[in-house]
Amino acid sequence: MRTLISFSVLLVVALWFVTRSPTAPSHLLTGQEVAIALELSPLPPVPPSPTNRVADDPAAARLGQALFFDERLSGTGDVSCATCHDPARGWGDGRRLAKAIAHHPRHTLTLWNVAYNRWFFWAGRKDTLWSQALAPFEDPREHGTSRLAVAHVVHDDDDLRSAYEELFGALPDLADGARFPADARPVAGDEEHPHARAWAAMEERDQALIDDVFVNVGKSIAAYQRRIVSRRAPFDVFVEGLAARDRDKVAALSESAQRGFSLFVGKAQCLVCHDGPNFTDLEFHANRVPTGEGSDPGRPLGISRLLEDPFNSLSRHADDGGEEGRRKLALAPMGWRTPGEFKTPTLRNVARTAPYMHEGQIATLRAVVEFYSTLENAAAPGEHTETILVPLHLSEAEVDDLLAFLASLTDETLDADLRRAPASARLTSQSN
Amino acid sequence: MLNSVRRWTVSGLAAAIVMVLGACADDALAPSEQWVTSAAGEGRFSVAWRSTGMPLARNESRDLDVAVDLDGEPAAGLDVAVRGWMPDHGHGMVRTPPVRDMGAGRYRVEGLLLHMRGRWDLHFDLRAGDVAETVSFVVDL
Ligand code: HEC
Ligand code: HEC
Repeated sequence: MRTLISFSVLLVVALWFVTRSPTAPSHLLTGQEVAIALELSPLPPVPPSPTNRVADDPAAARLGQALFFDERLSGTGDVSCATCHDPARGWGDGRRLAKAIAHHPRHTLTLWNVAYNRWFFWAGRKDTLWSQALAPFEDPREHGTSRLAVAHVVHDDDDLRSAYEELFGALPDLADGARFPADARPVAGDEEHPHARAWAAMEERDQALIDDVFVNVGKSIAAYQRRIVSRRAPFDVFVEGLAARDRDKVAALSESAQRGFSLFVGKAQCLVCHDGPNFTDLEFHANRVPTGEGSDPGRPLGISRLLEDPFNSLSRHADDGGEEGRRKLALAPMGWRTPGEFKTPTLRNVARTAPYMHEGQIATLRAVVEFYSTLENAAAPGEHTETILVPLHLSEAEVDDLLAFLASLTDETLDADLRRAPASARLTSQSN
Repeated sequence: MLNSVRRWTVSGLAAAIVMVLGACADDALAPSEQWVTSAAGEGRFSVAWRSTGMPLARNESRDLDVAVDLDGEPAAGLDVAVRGWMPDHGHGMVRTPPVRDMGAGRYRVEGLLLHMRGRWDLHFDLRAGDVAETVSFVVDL
């Protein structure tokens, strides 16, 4: 009898060891959960950007930073990228729907870890970070300016101009107003727009020169945005602790947040889409979040606009000769697609980027988790929806645990010098 | 990342299970050297494939080498298409990778992207004249 008891005790202990990873000082996670945690952290270095030859050039990043904060690059003279992507508001604007010159139908995306993305915008209508940067300038609701006006600002400002020319060579002589009007751009669907008429009147060769300047502006801004990285949140310290068997580091995650992690990768199935060290699979899904008036088709429209985009990764502006585009963009449109799909957003710093979803339709993180838990008012499933999306019936304590985990993805310790306009657009300048 | 390769037959189709276990890269075999083959005797076509260069990995674009036999002989000039399907999710891949005929019964799938964790059914649709079959594999990512 005694041997039987001690044998059973031994068995229980053995089982306990088998299900708890021996490397894990956390008593809450199973071995499998620890293995998943080790896949989700650390965030690797920013992936290379072969379409942008200045992507990792510090001088380009400095010029891009100056451009990012420069309000002269707008039709009204008071809008910069930072108007909507405010470093103090999680690189967003805290608004439900974006607004600068006019209202925008979508919620502003955060720029945290933006360089890890494969597609840009909620519907992925851009395929490189540098070409994304060109869209807001010419959007009448955002900067409301034109590529000619942008080129003139760079040309006429000594600091911007010398920074630009050190990187990209001499600018064309834009002083000739007959060749280079103050404001001109192609305007889709409105050939009578004054900007469109001015653009059409230009020589094709001059249009190409301006497109090159515009693209170089975009590539510089992209080089800057590649530095907006968040990678050492309490969750990352916790994972370091798991790997090194360091109990102090493991304590970076509260027991509630650890239980939340187990839910995230397990019962709540969040990991299905919010996978990988940036907590996104980089692709598009219909998560059935209720949408407001009108129907936003999402991804299918994004991909058709991207294919028509003269600045896409298959264009002459891609510095890799179209290699990335042939493996990414060229293969995408043939894939399976349903309306109502949007890009899975990163969850790093998500506790600091309310409100949520592509229309900002959910005000708080708690309400997001409650939506996934109940699927109350969920949009009707499309023809091919995610069949894994089912009501989770989370208890109140489980909701709290998931929220504690999501909050543990917060790390806003970015170098203060990257959060504001630099004193000079030139890296070599002594003034900064 | 390819830890174990097992094979079995699913509902009349040649099938193989490929376990690609995410985190444990260190002790992994080099899967580029590892052919995954369909079970014999299921239909007239048989298929062997492997990821070229880098191991097959979740959400990373890969090319596949594919060798197709018809009645035991290398089959060139086929119509070949590859489809990925997630039976547990009710959806497939986000890209359709083109398939190039390399001659002598060898084909190259370019830019296969299995973007999510979980079970994928990888279907090779093969046609030679009026002989058409689908040879399927299960890939667990
Ligand atoms: C009017 C406010 C506004 C301004 C000004 C603005 N943005 Fe945005 N930004 C948005 C909105 C809204 C979205 C999402 C729009 C969509 O998906 O259709 C967005 C999306 C983005 C994205 C995509 C992020 C991702 O994960 O896909 C990037 C990058 C970005 N903006 C950078 C910039 C840059 C660079 C500038 C300046 C050139 C800029 N934005 C100016 C509102 C703004
Ligand atoms: C089927 C894929 C899928 C699953 C599963 C999923 N999400 Fe999402 N998630 C998305 C997509 C797609 C969006 C953006 C949807 C939109 O705006 O239309 C999103 C948006 C979010 C947002 C808003 C982020 C922002 O910046 O606006 C949060 C927070 C979030 N999800 C958390 C979770 C949590 C927690 C779970 C598990 C309970 C979960 N998600 C499960 C795909 C998914």
